[in-house]
Amino acid sequence: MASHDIYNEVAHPGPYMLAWGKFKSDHVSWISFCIVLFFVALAILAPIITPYAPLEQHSQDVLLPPSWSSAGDVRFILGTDDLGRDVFSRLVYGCQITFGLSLLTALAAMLVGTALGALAGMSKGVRASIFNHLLDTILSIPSLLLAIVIVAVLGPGLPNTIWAIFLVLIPLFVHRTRQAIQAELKKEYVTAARLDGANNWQILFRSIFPNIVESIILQYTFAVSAAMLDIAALGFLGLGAQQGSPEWGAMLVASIDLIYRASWLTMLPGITMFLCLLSVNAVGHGLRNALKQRSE
Amino acid sequence: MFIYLVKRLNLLITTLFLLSLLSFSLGHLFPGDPVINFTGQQSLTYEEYADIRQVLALDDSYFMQYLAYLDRVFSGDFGLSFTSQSEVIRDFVRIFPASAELSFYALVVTMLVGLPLGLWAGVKRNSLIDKIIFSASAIANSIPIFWLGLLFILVFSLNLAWLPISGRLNLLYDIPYISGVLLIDIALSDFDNKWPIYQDALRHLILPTVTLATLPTTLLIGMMRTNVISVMDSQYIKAARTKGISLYQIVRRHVLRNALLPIIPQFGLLFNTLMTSTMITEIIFSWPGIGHWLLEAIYQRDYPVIQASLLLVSSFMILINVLADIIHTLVNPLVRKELNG
Amino acid sequence: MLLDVRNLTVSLKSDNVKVNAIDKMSLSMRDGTIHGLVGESGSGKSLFARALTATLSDKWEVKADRMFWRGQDLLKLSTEQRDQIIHKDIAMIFQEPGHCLDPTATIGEQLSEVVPASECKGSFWQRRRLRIEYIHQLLKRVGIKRYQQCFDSYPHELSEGLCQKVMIAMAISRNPKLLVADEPTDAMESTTKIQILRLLHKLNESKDMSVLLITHDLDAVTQFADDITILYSGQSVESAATKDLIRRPFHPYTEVLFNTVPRLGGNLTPKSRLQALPGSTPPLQHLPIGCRLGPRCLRAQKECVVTPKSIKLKGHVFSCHYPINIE
Repeated sequence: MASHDIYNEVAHPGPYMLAWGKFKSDHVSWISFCIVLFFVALAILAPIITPYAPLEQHSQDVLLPPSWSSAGDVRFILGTDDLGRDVFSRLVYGCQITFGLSLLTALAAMLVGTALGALAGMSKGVRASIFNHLLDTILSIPSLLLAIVIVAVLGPGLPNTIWAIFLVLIPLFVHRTRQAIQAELKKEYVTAARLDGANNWQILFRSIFPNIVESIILQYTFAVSAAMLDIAALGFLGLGAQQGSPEWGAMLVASIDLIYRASWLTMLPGITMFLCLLSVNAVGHGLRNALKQRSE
Repeated sequence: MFIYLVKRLNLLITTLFLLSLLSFSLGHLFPGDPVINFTGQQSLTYEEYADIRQVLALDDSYFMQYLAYLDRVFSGDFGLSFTSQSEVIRDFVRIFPASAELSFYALVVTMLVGLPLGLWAGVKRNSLIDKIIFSASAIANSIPIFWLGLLFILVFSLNLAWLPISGRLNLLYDIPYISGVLLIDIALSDFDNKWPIYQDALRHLILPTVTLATLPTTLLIGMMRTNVISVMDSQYIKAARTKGISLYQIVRRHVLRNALLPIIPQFGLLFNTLMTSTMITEIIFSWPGIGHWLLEAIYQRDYPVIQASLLLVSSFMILINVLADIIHTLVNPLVRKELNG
Repeated sequence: MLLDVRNLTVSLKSDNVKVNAIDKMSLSMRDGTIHGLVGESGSGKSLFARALTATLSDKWEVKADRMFWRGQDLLKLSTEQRDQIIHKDIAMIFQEPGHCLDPTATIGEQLSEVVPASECKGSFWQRRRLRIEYIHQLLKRVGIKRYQQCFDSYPHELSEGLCQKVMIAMAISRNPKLLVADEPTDAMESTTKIQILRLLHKLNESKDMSVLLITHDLDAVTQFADDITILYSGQSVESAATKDLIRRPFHPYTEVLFNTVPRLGGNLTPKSRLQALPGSTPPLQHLPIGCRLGPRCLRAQKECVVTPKSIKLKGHVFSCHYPINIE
């Protein structure tokens, strides 16, 4: 603090800024956040960055190891697979599919789920009770199993997988929003607003929403990581992205047959996915910590 | 208390009702003829077809059809599998023990590793050991399970050749099917020298169990650590410390119980994770369990099997969830307080 | 002297600044008395109790010229020795007693773990019975009539008053020399409050146990305490026997503090303003230098930017440059 500051003015940042400041001051979360941004950039810029198309086959250069090994070739930085496709390009395009699509799917699910959750949270009586039972049912089935069932009905394929995961994620947001709203409804400030004559609509948007936005964003980070895992898992199980697609899970399952000859085909998509998941999870964790620290 | 139990049972019944409804509608939603989807009998004469249509009440309203479906479910008739042409429920009962066995061992590993580590990290909060445990569990939590399985195979089976890649037992040993739980079956079998068989079975178990246990363990460590920290921060622990009770005594008498109690209702979540992971693990290690069976059914479009396994597996999970909730109510005095007003 | 603390400083080490939450506070306590420690909220009363019992977290730093407990300097002892003395001789009760009991264990279980082994000597099979008898006696002594029922109850089934009595029973189970009562009656109904205070008073008389009564309730403290120490913003303001302090306060703050309590039958004109100092207590980040009352004190002058030394006059200790009521 500067010594000429006579009055010792202390600026009090707003709650969002405070949480953001706390988040940034934690190195791990900040680095993870940068990594997430990096992956987002990869997903968006995939066609510009990649030297080759994801499905382009180089029949001369089949199963090249990554360029740092002695048998590698600099033209293919991370090597090639059994059909001579460039692993690096495939990984970047896979980022577009696995990570980019999870971001979008989770976003869509968040919008729908939050709206439904707000509706459920504000309603009372029989309707709410039926809704809750329905929700409990869906939530008690693990997301992957539910997604598998939906895919089984719709048929395998990436678009159907996305639909399934979208449908599976919605209840999570509904649940979280409903819980948060009901917790806020019990608080005194809502009662105060009600006594001032605010109607349900105003209470929801003016009083409650600003207070639960953060917990919904938090839920979003978890949803993204769940969506990524599920997309990749379905791809791995052969129910999602088609064989040959650069989706990370599908790449992993394709590598199983070659695991002994070309272990980099197993390692690289796995490491990429692990890094991506780890940073998304760390961002979520850092966010939760920041919110918790702020309230202390 | 009684009212609470009734409420819980009510929830259980509603949930099961909704599930059966979903399962029933799958029969119509799946492409193809509902008669075949429900019964699994593909080569029917015209008379047989009409008979079955009668039994399924397919000409009546959906409501009557649903009742007919429920009737069959309660009598254990889920139709025939398209591929094996044997009764689905029989297949299920035959295959289920393999999954249950694997999940059970993984659950034991999860408890044995997760609870102590979580407790340790929570008690020594912010110390080096806490940071190590916490980061390790955060990192392990982000490893996709299918990659982890492949990694284990790559390292321990292919490169080091310590452990077998897949299956439950070396094909040399032909253990008769008695209970379905392999370790029990070996004991029941009439082989002379059982020790090498046990050894072989255990070697087959290690990789799937560890793969399966990883994710639930990290979850459990996280839960336990959070609970322990919040208990350690509470007033009564601080009060207990001023009374001159040693840290060990405090942990043993107060922290452990108060941290374990909230885990019980979260057990359902843990179990769900475990079941999901079981399916993937079974695929990776070719473990002949429910997950393997279900996915095979999806590949083969074996609709009766999909329908039945969805209903059975999710009912089982809901049962576990509700059971965990009820047990929690019975053992936790704090919840009883809320119930009694 | 039971307890003699001289120039105790407790500071909070945050990122780059060091804040003295308690600044050169002194307190001395005679054997077998009830000593009141009075101050506004945030004046460091509870902090003092925590510093005394060594239950502060690592963020806090405790320094003192001396901290004598029956002739032994607590700060010079090793942690183990100190803990041993504290656990043997000092017991503590808190505000919100309901939160200070393990919610998942019965009262009986929690009491039996603090009963010292020396109280139930006997053969192996007798011990359990002796222990239970001892607990029953404890519960009777703190005035719980239905002790058997209380014994089997969970904390949430008892009222706050009963919980506090249980806490007191736990505290006296080891026959401590000093009972530190940290706002024991905060947020309690007035009848319960009086019950608890009377109980403390009775225990003090019958068991010769000193009580350090930390509170902001002036009525209670003037009624029950033998001596009073007044804290303002972490500095000890004035310390004397209760009678002297009420009759003739030397420190301006003391006078104002006692005047804030409106008295029945006084010459209070209707709708007159209640007496209070201008301004409010400074937050920890913005403590004034010197006498911390300075900016609010009506008698403050230039010297007040220097921390006043404590002056002892006829058993009456105060720290002020311009005391009142002195000829």
